[in-house]
Amino acid sequence: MTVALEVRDLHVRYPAPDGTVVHAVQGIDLHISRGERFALVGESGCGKTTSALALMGLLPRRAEVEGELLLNGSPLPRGGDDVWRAHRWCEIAIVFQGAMSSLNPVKRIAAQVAEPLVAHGLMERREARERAVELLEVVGIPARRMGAFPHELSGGMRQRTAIAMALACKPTALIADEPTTALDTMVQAQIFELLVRLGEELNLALLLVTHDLPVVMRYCDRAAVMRAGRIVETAPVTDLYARPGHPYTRQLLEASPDRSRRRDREDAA
Amino acid sequence: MSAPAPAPALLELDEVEARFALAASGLPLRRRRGGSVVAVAGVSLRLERGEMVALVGESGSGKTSTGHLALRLLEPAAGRVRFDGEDVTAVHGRELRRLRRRMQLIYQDPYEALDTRCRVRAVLEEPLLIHHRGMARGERTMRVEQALAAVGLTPPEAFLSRHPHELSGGQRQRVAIAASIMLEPEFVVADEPVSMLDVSVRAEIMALLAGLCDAGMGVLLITHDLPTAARYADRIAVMYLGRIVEQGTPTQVLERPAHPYTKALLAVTPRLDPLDRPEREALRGEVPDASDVPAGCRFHPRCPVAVEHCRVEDPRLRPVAPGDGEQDGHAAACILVAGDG
Repeated sequence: MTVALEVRDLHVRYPAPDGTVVHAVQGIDLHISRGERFALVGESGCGKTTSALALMGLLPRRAEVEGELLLNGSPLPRGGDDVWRAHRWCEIAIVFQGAMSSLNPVKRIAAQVAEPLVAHGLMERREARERAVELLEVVGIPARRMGAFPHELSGGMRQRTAIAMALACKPTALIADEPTTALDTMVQAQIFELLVRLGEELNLALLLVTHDLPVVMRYCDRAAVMRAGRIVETAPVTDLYARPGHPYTRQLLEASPDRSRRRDREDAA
Repeated sequence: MSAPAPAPALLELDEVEARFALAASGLPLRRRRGGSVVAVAGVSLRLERGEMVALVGESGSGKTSTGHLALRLLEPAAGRVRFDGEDVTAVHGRELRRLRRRMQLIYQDPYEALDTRCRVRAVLEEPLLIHHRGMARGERTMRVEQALAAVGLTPPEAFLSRHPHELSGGQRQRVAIAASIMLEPEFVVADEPVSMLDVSVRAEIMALLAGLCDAGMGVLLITHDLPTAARYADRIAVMYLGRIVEQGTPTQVLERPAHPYTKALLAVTPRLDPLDRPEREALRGEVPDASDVPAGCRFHPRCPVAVEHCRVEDPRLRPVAPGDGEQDGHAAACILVAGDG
């Protein structure tokens, strides 16, 4: 398997106005192959989203980023938006939580999905529009909804639209940052089943950023557990579950709800 | 069950309905059925002292409205709500206020539930100032400190003069719970009390609620998460589109689910064991709008096992599996479930 996405010794620091520095990400290493589903798991404030944004070159300007990012073997550039533009969305894309904030509220969804194709100079407007309709069909939006505005769609449909948009320029790596927050159990399952299917069909390196360990166990191959800016453990999910190596992993496992833990415990072992 | 005069349940919902009038704009005219949607369509539920009952469902299932009906924050369009034997729906004014002291609501979002400008002391004193106007300041302080200690915020003095923004999410939810137990209610509705919190904090907050329950309080837990319900509740009621479709103990509902909707929910609820990945696919489509309820069984358009008759009959809850005996309370609303008939 080819390594699609690699991170070596990533540090992110935020200087505060009072001269102190918040060291949000303290030297993490990751590698994700094509076709692999990898999770970065941790609780709020652990640095998982900051790490994901660093991979997209989307951190605020004041953030100091250090370390090596490699996409399909070649190092990602340092620098401003101009440098990033060639890579972002075309090689690595992201789906955020709550798609309402990443969609343009006054633009019909097909036009919205076509936008990156035109902006990156990949297609003429008409061709891009056709491709957008195709993409939206792939993610399960019925043909009659192509002209809908985001607010006319359910949360699940909006997230499908965001996924279609992220995949428009055929990236090799896709980051999904808490993609199902605020979605119902059944819709959450639909979105993850979609991501799994697309990951397999398009041979994507999938990076799932989440706090939800059961979701990781169900849908991912490997995972890194993150705490306070550091990765405490990286392992295949089967090992993480059967032989958690770090006390924090054990603590997260213990705190996670599972159907085997029941108050009435009628048939508890 | 057949005792001549059973003690009244702490809370009893009897075929309650909640309706919401539709705003003038919004849905097209032809879809406004008499200008209202039925969010809760005949729900019956019993909750005893010291018992935690979980209402589990997706958004739009009517679980929050049911909680609001129980507290009479919503006026039922039909049916009865009895609290400790007393018909809540018939009570007004001073009597209602007296009842309200005995029941409380814990909100989902601890960031919104607390007034950002009030210190913890003021937040917790407010219910006392309203409901016990004559109470001396010294006693108020004592009650506030007791409540803080009860929710694990110790030492209480360290928290009294803090503002909400100086607290972590878990601490905020503890303060919100402290505020709702200030008047020593006998019954609380906890509406998604941990969904905004980190996993490790969730377990602590749920344990806190379970502790209050063990001390005799009745808790109606509203959640979308079956595993959380199973871990802490004594009984689970699964809701779909305004109805309870299945109820029973956690073991009954999780190990022997009878309703196809419960089965579908369980099939897609991730388990911790990564080797336990059932092949079952998520149901297609989404929960229909409450303004457009399917005829017959409300679940039939999405049901993987629906038969022709499901389009016609609107099934009511009936006991599951006669072998278990009638008193076990496992019931499902599906014509395909083997009942005791």
